[in-house]
Amino acid sequence: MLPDIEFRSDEAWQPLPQWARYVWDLGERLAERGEDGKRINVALSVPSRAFVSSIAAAAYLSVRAGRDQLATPDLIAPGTDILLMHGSKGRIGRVDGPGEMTIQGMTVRGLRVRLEGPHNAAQLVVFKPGLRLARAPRAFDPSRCNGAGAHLTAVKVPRKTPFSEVLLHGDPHTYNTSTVLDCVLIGPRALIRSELVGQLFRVRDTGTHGVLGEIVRAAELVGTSNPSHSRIVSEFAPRVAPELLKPSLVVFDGATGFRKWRHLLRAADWLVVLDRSRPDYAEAVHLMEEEYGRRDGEASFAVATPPGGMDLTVFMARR
Amino acid sequence: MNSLDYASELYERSAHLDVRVHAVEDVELQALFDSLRTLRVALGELASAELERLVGLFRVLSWMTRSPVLPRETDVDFEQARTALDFTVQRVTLLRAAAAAAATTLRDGFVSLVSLDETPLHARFVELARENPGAVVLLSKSRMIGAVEQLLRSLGLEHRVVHARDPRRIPFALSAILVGPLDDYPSHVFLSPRIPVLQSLVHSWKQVAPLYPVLPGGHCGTSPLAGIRAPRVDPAIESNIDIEALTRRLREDELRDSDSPSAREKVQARLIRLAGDHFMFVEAGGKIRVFDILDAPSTSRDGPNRFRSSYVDVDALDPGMFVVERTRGATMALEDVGARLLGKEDEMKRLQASQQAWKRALRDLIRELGLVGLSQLLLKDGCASAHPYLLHNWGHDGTILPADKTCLRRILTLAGRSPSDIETAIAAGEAHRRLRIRAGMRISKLLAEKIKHSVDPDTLDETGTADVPLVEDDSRAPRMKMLRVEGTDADLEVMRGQLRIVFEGLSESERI
Repeated sequence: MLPDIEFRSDEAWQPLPQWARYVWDLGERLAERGEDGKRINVALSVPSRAFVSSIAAAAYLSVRAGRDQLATPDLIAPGTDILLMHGSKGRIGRVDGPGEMTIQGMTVRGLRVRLEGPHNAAQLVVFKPGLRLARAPRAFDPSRCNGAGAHLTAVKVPRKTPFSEVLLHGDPHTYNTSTVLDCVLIGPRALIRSELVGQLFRVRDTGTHGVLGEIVRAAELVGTSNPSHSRIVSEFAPRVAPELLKPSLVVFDGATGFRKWRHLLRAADWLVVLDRSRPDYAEAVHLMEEEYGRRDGEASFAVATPPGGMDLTVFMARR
Repeated sequence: MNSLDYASELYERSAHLDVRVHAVEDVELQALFDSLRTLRVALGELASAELERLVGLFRVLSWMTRSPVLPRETDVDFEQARTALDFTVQRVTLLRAAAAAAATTLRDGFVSLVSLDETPLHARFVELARENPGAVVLLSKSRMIGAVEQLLRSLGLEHRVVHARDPRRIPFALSAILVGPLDDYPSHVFLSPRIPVLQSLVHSWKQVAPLYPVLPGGHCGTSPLAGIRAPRVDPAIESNIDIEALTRRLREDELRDSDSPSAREKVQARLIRLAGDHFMFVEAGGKIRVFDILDAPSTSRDGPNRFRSSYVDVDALDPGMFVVERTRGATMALEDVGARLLGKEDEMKRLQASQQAWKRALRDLIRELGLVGLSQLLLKDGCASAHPYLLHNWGHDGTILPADKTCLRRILTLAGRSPSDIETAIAAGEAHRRLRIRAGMRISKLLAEKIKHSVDPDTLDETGTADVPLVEDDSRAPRMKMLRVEGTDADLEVMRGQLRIVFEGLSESERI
């Protein structure tokens, strides 16, 4: 549920328009839907593409951030079994309780965890790039703890972003310090970037403000060496890098990228934003008709009637 | 404007788009478009469908040009191919005939149109522009922008004229005037509207709803799409000109005027094939005058001759009969010759002078007020038939007297004529009409007599055609063309003006 969000316009804060709230809600619903082995196709026909893909991606990632996460680490009860993910590797452990340590003169809070494996059986887990906590797929087995002693290196403390902390589900710290490809945005890259970093939003109740880029965390914005959750690909790029082909969601911002790369990205859910002022709109609708002809069922969630000026279609397809 | 605000404005305008269609009636132009469509269909079919039917045969012929051995085994049924070929020749001829008739109508109609300064579309546009001083004028063709800007400037109007192609150039305004069919405009004008009230000015027969792409299986949050698909004339907008009444009146006017029958009225016609690859449309279900050649001379009121003239049903037309083309010739020449034959030359001259006098007065008024200006003035005065094109036609020599006498009275009053002068002119017009009909009948009778006495039946039987002028060596003199019927073809819908006019079919070299 989106809190009361406002956007900055001409030196004043204005409430988010109805169409933008609808897009946010749609993005959240996409992220909330359960895994059923099928791919969901959502297409929006809008009078202007402005902010639709950015808002949808932010909403999707705000919910996605909490997926597979435990609650805030501070609240994880001692004795909870967890899966500590670092990159593609994961280790099962059990939480002993909260802990603190001092790194380069700063006090860093974390969790004291005992982990299965040959080393570092007990360690203070401090959130750092590439690290994620998830629910353990099986019970922790103490007999597998072979190592001893704590071990920590190169801990990086991320910048605090109060705005994203309000909007992100789950633990923002975990989200901000991990790298997972949740979303790929394909469209006019410069415009998407400017929407993500150039427009200020504010949570009315708390007064915290920020930009959508803090939630979307695209590698193109935060730098490839920092934790990221999405990528922005130009619709005119000659190819899509192979590592970008399996995100959870692809947002096609405009018909160009959709026409060029939809065949490569059938492993992901789709959100297609079609701008009716673009000359290739008709062609994109015809392509969507083709996809609709191959559909495998109707939408897996109830769709509210779109606001005036917007058309929407939702259907399922095989991956 | 912030881009979120800008987008919100577009959603708002998109959800509340108001498309008002103003239909403009223009019967003359519509008739020309009908002819153009006939021509296009006919030529298009000549080019594709008929040839396609013979592809198999062409394949065999192609084989024969490459091999000294005749193809013994082929999937082409030659008997069937021959039948198809026969059919094709007939069909192509038929289409060609329709095309030729349409081309003639186009040529004649176009000549009368180009002499016009103002059209109904122009008049309605000026009216709309005056009613909506803040509106933007959206055009679908960039080359028209300069001329429209100039027109508006000449009227003292300061509308912004914009090409609709690029959405970025369309300003955020409250209303716009669109000239021409909706489907000429790019879809973003309607689907991503910068302007929420669109006043579309379009010819009445062009009210074809444009089809815009819609997402399949979609949930529609856009209300205007349905509105665009069903454009309709806003009755309130057109209330000052009752198009339906005007059209009805126009039709009645034309039908009443026996001297100039409704040339554009659609009739079901049968195409008859005539000698020498000629064709003619005759009204299906009607009667037609025919001549038969008798073996021996018989005595009739016209003296002994070998022709028998009678009227037969079109359904009873048989090969071997001779039909005559509608009497044709220059209007004034027909009147002069006819009057001379009737001994009423002086009377005809007096009536023609009276006709010319009121036509001059009408032309002066048109020059002074403009065709559309005069039309508007008369329409407001209750002259329902004062359509600009009708006024234009009345100014030509061919019209003897408008059927709407009230309208003529109003015109002549505007021209400063006294009531007694006006009634004299109307009485003279009616006398003129009667005299012309009598002259036409006299000419027709004389031509029929001349056929019977000057045409050699044996030569006619051999050639199948004869062209008889009333006066030798005078190209302007009335003449009658006589041709032998060789068969009849399918029925078609043509304009009444195309009936009983002889035209040529395909030459041998043009056939497949």
